[in-house]
Amino acid sequence: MQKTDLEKRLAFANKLEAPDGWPEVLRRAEGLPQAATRAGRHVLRVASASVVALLFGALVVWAGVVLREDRNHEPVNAPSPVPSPVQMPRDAIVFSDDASRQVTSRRALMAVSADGGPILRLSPFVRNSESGPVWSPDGQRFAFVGNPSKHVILGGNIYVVNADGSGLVQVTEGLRDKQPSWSPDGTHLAFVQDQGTALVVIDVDGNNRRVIARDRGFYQLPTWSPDGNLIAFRSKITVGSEGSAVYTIRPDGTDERQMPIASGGPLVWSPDGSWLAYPGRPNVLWIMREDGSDAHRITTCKLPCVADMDPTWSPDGTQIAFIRQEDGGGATRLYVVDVATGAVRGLTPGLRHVGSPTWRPR
Amino acid sequence: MHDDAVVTDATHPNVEQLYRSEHQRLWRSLVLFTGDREIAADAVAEAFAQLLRRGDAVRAPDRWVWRAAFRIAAGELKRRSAHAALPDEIAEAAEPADVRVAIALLGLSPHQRSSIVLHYFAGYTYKQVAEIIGSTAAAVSVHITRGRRHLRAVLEEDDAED
Repeated sequence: MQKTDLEKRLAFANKLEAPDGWPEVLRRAEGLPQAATRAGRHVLRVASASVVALLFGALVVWAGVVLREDRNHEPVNAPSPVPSPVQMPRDAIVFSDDASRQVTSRRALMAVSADGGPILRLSPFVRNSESGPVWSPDGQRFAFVGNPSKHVILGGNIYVVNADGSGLVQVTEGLRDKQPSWSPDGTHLAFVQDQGTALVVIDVDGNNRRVIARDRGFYQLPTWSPDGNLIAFRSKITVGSEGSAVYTIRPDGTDERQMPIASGGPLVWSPDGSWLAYPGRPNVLWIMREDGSDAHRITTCKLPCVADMDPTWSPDGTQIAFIRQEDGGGATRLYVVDVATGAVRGLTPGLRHVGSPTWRPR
Repeated sequence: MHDDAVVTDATHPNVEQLYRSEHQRLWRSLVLFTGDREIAADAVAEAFAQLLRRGDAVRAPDRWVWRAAFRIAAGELKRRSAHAALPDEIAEAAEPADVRVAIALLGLSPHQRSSIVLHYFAGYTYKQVAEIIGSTAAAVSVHITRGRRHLRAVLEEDDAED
């Protein structure tokens, strides 16, 4: 291929229009909790005394709660804007969907019964983008990552909300966190901060935020073991290295060990803790016993399938919901596989950008 | 060919000026590199935010911000390495032939892909590409030669099928 030919073929990218991200640059540079331009903040300062007081008072009357700004990562309790209780299916699989397909991605939380049926839209709780849902172990609430900013970022704040859409609680602040995972007793969340520079554990009420690993970087996809003793995650093997591996660590940051599997993670324990599911080679789902034995594939991925990923177990451990990336447009859709038979069924044929499924525990 | 912008003081107005002059080309290059507009937008924003925070400590902000943005984007790609890339993110604004180019690019190694994009799309010399991706001009030459060979094989095969 000649140079000029290659230049011509790449020139199509000049037709793409980049978003104006300068306000987002300023917000990040100054560590602001909300997206705002300098000009915008000036206007806000001028108007803030009266408007904030009025807004604050109205919120107190409306919701009957007091918004608390705090400096110790304590949660900010706020009413859910969801106007009516969500009729969450008992066997709901909650997931995120990006219907915007725009540069400024806007993900929304959705739910579908594991048996199929209509898809229920759960968002918005905090606007503007909500993703990464994960059910609490008792199935009564779920955590998710919310980005109230109008700009695209790869992290957000972690929130917890009841299954019926009520009782929204902000657990973290700073728009820097993602990929939450519950401790089995429902009292803690593990997550990564700042695009994976550290692995963090926090009380679910927002207190006691503590970094448990930060030495190697690119910490990703933490999942808590059912007995509560381990957190599995992916990270670099050494600082600056190309490779990454799956590790386990105790919640207090001790006893870190590399797992002997080839996977990009996540490593997901079955409800009874006896099996682990994970995406492995060649882009299919695998399971193995917790002791590492009996590893075998449970999906097959042939075109138009490109990759199977993001497994989540059914409460009885007989099925796994997962995301299948499909060629011919790169759509990602929600599927369920029967662990014993390998039979697969799709649940979201009408959606194109589904991710992060989480199956409601019983 | 890219003209080296002379920005000696990374204060806010100069950084904003640099952003205005560079962010379109940088973002488009990152879209070609990642196949994902969101990763590209995030990498651009984060790189310029880091530039603002570092202030005068950065001597050549134009080159620094390209290096930072490509490293951030490469890091995010690594995180998603278990997942195939999503070329459809750029398919909306592209012709089928262009989508094939984007898909073919994603079949290259990260170094081959960044070298091809930075040289043939962004217009950097081999030496400048090497500075951005943290390599040598000789290594960049190898990346580009092998990358072109791969693209030629894939795209000519596609063209023959049309």
